[in-house]
Amino acid sequence: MNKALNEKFYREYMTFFEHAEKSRRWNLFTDIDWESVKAAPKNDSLALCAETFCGVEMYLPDYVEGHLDMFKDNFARSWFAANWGYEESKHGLTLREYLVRSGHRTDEQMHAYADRILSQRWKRPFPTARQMTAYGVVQEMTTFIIYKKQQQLCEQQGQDGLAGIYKLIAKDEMAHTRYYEIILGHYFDDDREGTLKDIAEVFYNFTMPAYELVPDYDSRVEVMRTAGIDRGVFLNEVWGPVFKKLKITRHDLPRSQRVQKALGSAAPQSTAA
Amino acid sequence: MATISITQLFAQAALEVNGKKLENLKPETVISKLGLDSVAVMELVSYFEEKLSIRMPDEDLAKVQTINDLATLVKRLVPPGTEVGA
Repeated sequence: MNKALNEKFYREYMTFFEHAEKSRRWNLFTDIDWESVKAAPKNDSLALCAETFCGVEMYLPDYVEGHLDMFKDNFARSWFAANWGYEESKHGLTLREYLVRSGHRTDEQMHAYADRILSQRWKRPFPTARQMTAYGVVQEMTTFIIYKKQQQLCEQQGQDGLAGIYKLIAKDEMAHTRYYEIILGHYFDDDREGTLKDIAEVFYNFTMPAYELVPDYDSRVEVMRTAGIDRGVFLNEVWGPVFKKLKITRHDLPRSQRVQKALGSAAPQSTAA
Repeated sequence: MATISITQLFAQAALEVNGKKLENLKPETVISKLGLDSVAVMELVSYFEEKLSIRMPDEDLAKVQTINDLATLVKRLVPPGTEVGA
């Protein structure tokens, strides 16, 4: 590992952690309006979305294992992974508590759901730390947008307690996005060409973590689409801002292998305006 | 010079890049209804850009809904004298 890069990662982690400790920490037991959650009318569609997100968060042991395994020789990045795991565990627990306290699910149902979730394994989708950093930017940004949309939907439907939950979780997801963006920026400064290749690899092969592993995913995805989460969101609201932040455009990325193959050449991308 | 048919080129791109045979493609076809995921669509865009030696700005692409919209965008970007039809 490049020593200068490693030192930058350490500084960034300390900045991230200081900010989290001073201004971003929240408490599942005291910072959520549970009375409002209990008093709100039942909403099966919002509950199904919450259960799906809770399920995705429940793959936490695999996410943390995958990251710690990759970064075990890197102090700053492994400490970030541990802290990230703490924050994500709180998200999963909070959504679980919402489902039970709101009366949408029983404890027994949630235990059975957890058993079904944990019977499947999530595997790290990309092999290198730099690719996983690019993946982290996009995955966290996508998650942030999903939760913000859910927050807005809850506000429109008078579900203020659940809206408050999504607001807190979304704030964490944005902090994770910013952290990964900064780390990716350091990789970029260190090796622009290699980092662009890795971003392209992630761009052309990205899928959200574990969604396909969640039980009954096909029926859930239809409900989530009606909540404003579709493919267009991914392009316009996720990748667009990420490229802007990195001061690149889609045209800076090498073409995908599938396109190169179809065009019958591995020549560099056209620079025609 | 022969007119470039965007409908035809789109079908060709989907087949060559994604191995997907799109039947009954028409200018008014809504791209998001074709069963292609967002990554596949971006690969088709990349294929178009290379074939036609153009660059489609992402902010313009975001507004493209149908094959006809795509043809309108391509027409604006190809060199003068190149004939483009939906």
